[in-house]
Amino acid sequence: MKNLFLLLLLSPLVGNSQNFTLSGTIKDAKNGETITGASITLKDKTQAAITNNYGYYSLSLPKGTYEVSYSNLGFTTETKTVVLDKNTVLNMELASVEKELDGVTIKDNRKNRNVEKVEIGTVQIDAATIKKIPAVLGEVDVIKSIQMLPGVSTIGEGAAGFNVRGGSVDQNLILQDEAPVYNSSHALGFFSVFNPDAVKDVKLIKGGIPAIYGGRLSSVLDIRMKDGNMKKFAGSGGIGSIFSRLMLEGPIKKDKASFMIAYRRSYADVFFPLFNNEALKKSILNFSDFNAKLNWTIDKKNRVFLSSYIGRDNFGLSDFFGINWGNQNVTLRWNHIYSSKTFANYSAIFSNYDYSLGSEQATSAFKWVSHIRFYNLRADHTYYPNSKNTIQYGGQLVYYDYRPGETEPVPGKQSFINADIAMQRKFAIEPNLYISNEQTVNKRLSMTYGIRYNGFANIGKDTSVYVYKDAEKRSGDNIIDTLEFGAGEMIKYWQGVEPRFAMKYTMDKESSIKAGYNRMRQNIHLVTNTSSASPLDVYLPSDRNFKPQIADQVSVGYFRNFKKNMYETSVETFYKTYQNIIDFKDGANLVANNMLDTVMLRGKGESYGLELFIRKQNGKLTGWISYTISQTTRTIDGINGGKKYFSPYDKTHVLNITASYELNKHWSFSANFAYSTGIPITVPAQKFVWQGITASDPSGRNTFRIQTYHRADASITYKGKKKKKQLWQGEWVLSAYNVYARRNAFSMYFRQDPNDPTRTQAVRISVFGTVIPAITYNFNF
Amino acid sequence: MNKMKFSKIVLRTSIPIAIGILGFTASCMDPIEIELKDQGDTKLVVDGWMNKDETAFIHLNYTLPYLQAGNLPPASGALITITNGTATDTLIEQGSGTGFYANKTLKAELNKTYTLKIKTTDGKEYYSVNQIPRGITIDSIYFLPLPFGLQRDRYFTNFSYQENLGKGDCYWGRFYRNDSLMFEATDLYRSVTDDLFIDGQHLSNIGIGRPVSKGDKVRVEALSITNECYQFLYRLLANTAQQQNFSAPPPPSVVGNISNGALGFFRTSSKHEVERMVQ
Repeated sequence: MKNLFLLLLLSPLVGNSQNFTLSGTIKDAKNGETITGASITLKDKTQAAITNNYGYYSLSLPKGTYEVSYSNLGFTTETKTVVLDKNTVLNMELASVEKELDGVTIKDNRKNRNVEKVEIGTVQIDAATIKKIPAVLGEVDVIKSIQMLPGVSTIGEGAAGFNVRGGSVDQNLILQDEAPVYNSSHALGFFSVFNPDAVKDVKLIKGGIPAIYGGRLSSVLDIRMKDGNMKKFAGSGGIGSIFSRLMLEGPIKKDKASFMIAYRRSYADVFFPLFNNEALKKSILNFSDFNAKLNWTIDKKNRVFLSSYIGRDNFGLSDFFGINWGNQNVTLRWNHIYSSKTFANYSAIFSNYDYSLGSEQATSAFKWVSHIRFYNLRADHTYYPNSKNTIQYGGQLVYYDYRPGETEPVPGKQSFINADIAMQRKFAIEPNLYISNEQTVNKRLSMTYGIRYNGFANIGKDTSVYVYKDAEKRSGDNIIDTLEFGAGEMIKYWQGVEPRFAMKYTMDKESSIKAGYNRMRQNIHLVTNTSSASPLDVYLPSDRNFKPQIADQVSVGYFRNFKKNMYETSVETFYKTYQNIIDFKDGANLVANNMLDTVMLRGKGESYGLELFIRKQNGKLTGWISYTISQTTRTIDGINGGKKYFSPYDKTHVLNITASYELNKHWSFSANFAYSTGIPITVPAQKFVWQGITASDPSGRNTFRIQTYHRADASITYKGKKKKKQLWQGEWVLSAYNVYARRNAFSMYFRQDPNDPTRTQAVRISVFGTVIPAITYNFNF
Repeated sequence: MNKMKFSKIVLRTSIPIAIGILGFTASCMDPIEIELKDQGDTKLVVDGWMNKDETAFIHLNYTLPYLQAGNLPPASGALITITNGTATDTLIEQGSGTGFYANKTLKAELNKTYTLKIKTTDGKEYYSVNQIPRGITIDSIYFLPLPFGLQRDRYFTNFSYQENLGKGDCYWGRFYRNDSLMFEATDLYRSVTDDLFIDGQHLSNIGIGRPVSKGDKVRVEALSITNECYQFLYRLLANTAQQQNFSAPPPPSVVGNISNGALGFFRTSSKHEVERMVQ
């Protein structure tokens, strides 16, 4: 098997030595941003290539003269005659076609990319699309846009993150310029941490995940930030109901170096000092984020990028109580072209997520802190041996520092609360290696195959590890020994390989069949007992008692376009199994618990479903309809009597419709409709009374579904005419979320009827019980 | 500060933050009619207690389907005994068909092990084994005006005590106003603690979040409870008051210390109480 794999890899290298290479970088002529996924096609369509994440392409061809087309949706197509008698570098700049970008568009290198590309379960969205979708309080949002796609759902309004094909929030690898983001939400989930003004494009991969990605079970959300305008100083921003935001970009040296900075801040607490209440004057309530990016094209072969993100949520009620949390990350990247056939990217990445809560009250002051830190060095190479093969290989080395939670003294405060409480810190080193090849076998058949090695070393630093009599039935009574590990000592090493495969068979110009398989391993475990992630959730690494979670997924799809690619449709089906999936024991106490491995149980899971997608890409009316039918279950010894139960993220039906109508240059209208089955919850079966308190004896885990969810949103945009001396172009967006004021249940609880103590009742909790109007002013210059 | 309070902070911050951020109350909670198909099985419910130097009381009932109206049916006619290894005392039902049992001569002692045995009329038997934990002494009780000038002439009761050195102690503070026990599920947030964060400390300004007025008679009861009881109360809190959060975990089974699948808890405690008039 290994030999066959090597043969497949090396076979293209033989017999092509007489070829020459056409390579280069494709950029947007307007601002100098590199274009990801642009197409390079020979006139006879016998050969083609696409640009990578850095806009680079390479095409190996026999000596000759070629007509080469450079194209991307939303840009004018450029055709060049190339005499290829030596290795040739041809950088291109494509002019954008503004009209095409008006309205809801999905960014594709070609209009039939969904049919022609090997990738399955992948959608790319650009910032223009995100900005068109009506959003809560008028704040356009990357994650809320993602939730409109097939196979993606959320457990409810205000819930953090998103769920892909029945997976939990922590199973999504969210990358912001390659740095992982552990908490993607501000305000507990109402808004994502990604400033839409700073986002260049967003790619979601649900299936057939390439070998370059790893570490999470369900999906990859790859968010690329703008590099900064290489041509001229520009900016954009807005004044909204919640945030005000400003993004500035421009050349440091024209066509050589540029910058981008963006800042957002909410301003509810700006008005606190106006109140005649000392406690309120000292209170804070805000969230903010800051993006900065520099890039420098050193010469034809070298380019460096430095990007950073700092986000923070702050909530404080005078000195009584305060809490704050946020992500910070820094990415330093170096693109190097070794030769026209070999492109390399080297990155050094730091990412941190932390939270802190506490009180500064006299005698009871305390501070509780937690963090997860990620240090990563990685190397990624793309080798283009010929026009039929693109080989990617590389590796990464990650160091993790997990601080699940501990108390810290509050300077200058005497307190009766002990400052020596700590959940044990954990450390790990994760090496990864991968190699894959995208091969065009013939005109109809293309495939990508690869393999990824994942190692994970849990290492000690004054670390105590419990040994249980029965490792499968861990409890405090079951401990037979405690092992001690010093700094750097290996506690446990987990390793495994992850095969990846995707293929496409073209049936005709407008239709293809695709299939994919991937195995994913996850060594980071979200310890939570709620279905909605909280900023105070704890992450733990794989260790002696937490095994890596593993998922295997098979997906098959049929892709068909109609009316010259105006309508794009697809049907995809998937089947996924999970090993060592974790869930909490009934009544698990996760707070300051150093024996979380006794309350987080592991078992198996299964998920399968069918996804339908219909999209209209151009014309005055654009938009899409997505529908998913699926089921996700878990079977874990110790939960629900060991019987199979629904995952808390299981939604049988999910339907999303989004549409935008461009009436004229000034007026446009957008609308959404979302429908989904209610999430499963655990409900009471019997009631009893103890010391006057009415309590419940629950049914099995997740046996009842809350009411069906549906909602419609609408927005109207008016874009004013730019006057000659006006420095900026502005637009007003009037939006209404939940237009028919439905009280969708986020969850339910049960209680004693306050008016009749002998009765009990169900109570629906709705995040929004009414229509939420908003007005936003956006500008750019 | 205790783990329950910490949990409260963790689980309940969502509501004020969310509401504050939105700037207005768009959220709502309203009762709805639903049908619960999975009604489970009827179970025995034990609500019993025995304090150091005091006698024992047991209240027996049976569960009802959750949404069925009405009081729980009493478990009358049961045979109940408590054994301390050497002597066995029988609890007698107080009145016909009440399900309320007591023994007026039994006096519980520190460090002795007591086994509760219940045999119901259907022949089923239930057991519970407990010890009386060491107690604490309330050294002062005092009244402070409500903060922020919320209500004039209204006060919060505060008390202080020396916590026992050595981890593993748990406490339940209960509050009586004019001889009425003021107790709801939400009181568990502030009234129950273990000593993880406070071991061996002298604790002052322990507030009871219920306002009192001049002329009220106040009694604070400090119960030292077993860790098993502390865990039970934690589950009871999670099963009831915590459910009112936006993203509460599912209601857990309120597993007690009674065998054979019965619900409820038989509590054994040391108790110290202080009474004062608000002046």
